[in-house]
Amino acid sequence: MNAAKPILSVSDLTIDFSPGSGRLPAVSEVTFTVQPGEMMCIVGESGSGKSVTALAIMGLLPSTARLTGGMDFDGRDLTRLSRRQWQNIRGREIGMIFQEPMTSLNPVFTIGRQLVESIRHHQRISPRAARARAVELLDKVGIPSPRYRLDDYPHQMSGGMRQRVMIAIALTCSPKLLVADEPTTALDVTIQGQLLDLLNQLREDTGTAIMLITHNMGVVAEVADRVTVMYSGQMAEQADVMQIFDRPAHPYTRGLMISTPNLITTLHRLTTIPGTMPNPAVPPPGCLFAPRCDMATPACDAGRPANRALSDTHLSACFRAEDLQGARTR
Amino acid sequence: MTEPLIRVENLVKHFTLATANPFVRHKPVVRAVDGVSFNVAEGETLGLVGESGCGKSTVGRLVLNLMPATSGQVSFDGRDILSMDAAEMRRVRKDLQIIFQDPHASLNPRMTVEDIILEPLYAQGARRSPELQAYASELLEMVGLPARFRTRHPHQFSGGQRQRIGIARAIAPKPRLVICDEAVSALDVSVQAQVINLMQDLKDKMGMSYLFIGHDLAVVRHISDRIAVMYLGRIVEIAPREELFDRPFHPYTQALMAAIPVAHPRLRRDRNRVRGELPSPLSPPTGCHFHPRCPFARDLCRAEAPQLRQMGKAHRASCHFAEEIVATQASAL
Repeated sequence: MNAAKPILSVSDLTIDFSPGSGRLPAVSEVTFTVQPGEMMCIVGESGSGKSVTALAIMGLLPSTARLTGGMDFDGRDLTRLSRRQWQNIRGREIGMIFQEPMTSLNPVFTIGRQLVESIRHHQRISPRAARARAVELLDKVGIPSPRYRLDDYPHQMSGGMRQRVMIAIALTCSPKLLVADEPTTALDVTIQGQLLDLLNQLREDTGTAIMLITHNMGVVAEVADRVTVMYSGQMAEQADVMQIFDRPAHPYTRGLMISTPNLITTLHRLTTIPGTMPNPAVPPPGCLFAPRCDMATPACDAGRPANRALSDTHLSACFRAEDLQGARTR
Repeated sequence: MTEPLIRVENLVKHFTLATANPFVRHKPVVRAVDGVSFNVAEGETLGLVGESGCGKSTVGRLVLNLMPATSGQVSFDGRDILSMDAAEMRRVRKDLQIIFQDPHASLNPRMTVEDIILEPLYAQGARRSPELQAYASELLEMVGLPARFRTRHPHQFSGGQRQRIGIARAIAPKPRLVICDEAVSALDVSVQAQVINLMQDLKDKMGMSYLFIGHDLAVVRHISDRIAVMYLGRIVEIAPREELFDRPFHPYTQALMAAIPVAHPRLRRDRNRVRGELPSPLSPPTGCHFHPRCPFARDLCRAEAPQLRQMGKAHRASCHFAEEIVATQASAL
């Protein structure tokens, strides 16, 4: 385990859009850290609260959201920042990449102008120097003939190229943390592979920590150091990537893995997780996953399991975590 | 071998783009589908896989005659579909159904579930009747939804449930071929697996064929008996599933397989990623469409487009140097 001080430490983060309504909060008591240079993956399906968590870390929650808990970034308390202070951190110390690069880039300006704007917003350098830096950044993210592409508008580029531009913009100030929300989901699989390689390489070159939000266990297997699995706004499991795949300690994690078709096993039927995610307005009384769980016992319907440590690096919110792990080893 | 259910021969679809400039003599043409041929046998699932813009969805629509083909033939049960008149086409549509990708856009929000799933029958001239209502209930149960949902509207359902409704509509007229156009791509993993299983079960029960169009090779592999790989409007390789995965001949097929994320972090490896991106179909590369991205490209590839060649009994690929590439790879192992 990395003994260094984490760059980001989130504790008991709860985000509620309609407090007191009886609905489940969008995010409930989520706790994790991101170490310098680490790739932390947050994985979950639609409605798991993973994107809301990412928005909170970027200070982009709508004003209707009620946030409690702690978010400590590099010694500063993110929950107490003013708008102005956020503007100094966002983009400069925390870089962001979103799923759809077409909507994150401004369609009426060339990408060169957007890069230069971003560079000069954070650094006092001449337009000429900023332009040179923009070329350098585009080159670094693998855009061919960057000097010429600088004058392109976003619509003249493919989805993969636009996402590279987004990464370049996110890198302008060498951020300590890069938050990437489903950065490869809208892209073809060959381009997804190229971009994951790029993110990994940037992490090695610059030491940036990356918090990657994804729904795809394949992406997790490919790049994660550590993994937080979210279900219905809560943490189901958290561990090193090897532990997650070798000894999953939550039935939902196991379900996600075995219901993903792969290139190795051929079965006539896929193993599935029955049912769907609970309606947040009428949550089940006990464990949120119990209605879909093949290991549920009466205790699971009676009380909601808290996260508990199975080892130094492994958290699970399942009463039967040990049973599940034991069953796997046998 | 008997006549296949669907025989597609040299299918071509060009889209001519409008230009603002009236003096342009040759308007730009997108060759979305550029000479595609394949068969689907009765009871077979053919997977059609490729990345965005390769023309796979256009092929699906052409097979259903939902848009006019530029040239080529599609015969269903020995009859040429593309030359049929509207009345004939409507009768054949009973046997040819489609499931779309986006379950939000493909169900009419003003109709009840019952009307949605019975609509193909009404289109064939059926009248509302208690028997049909009972049939609607039966269909809903077949796709795993309670019969009481008959009177609800699409907005009351989740994405996975809507896709089940779309499937119920497709199987209502007891079709012989269902085209699944990215039918599970928009669904969450846990729901996706449920819907894939449902499609397998229905096929076992009803014995129809699927043309399963998708971009996720792992999903397509799971469901298909045979797989065709498309690149920029052409089929570059077609083979039975096991053969395709055991011995992919075309460098693009190999690249597509290599790009799929691993199933376990222990399988991580440095790999030779395919370079670059899909070229513009407006100005496709000369010769082999894949040559600008191909690590094995030579002069011949730039000059001459390779034809699909027989590589095994039912295995065809279009690469000038397929045997050589596979032999080198085998000796490198």
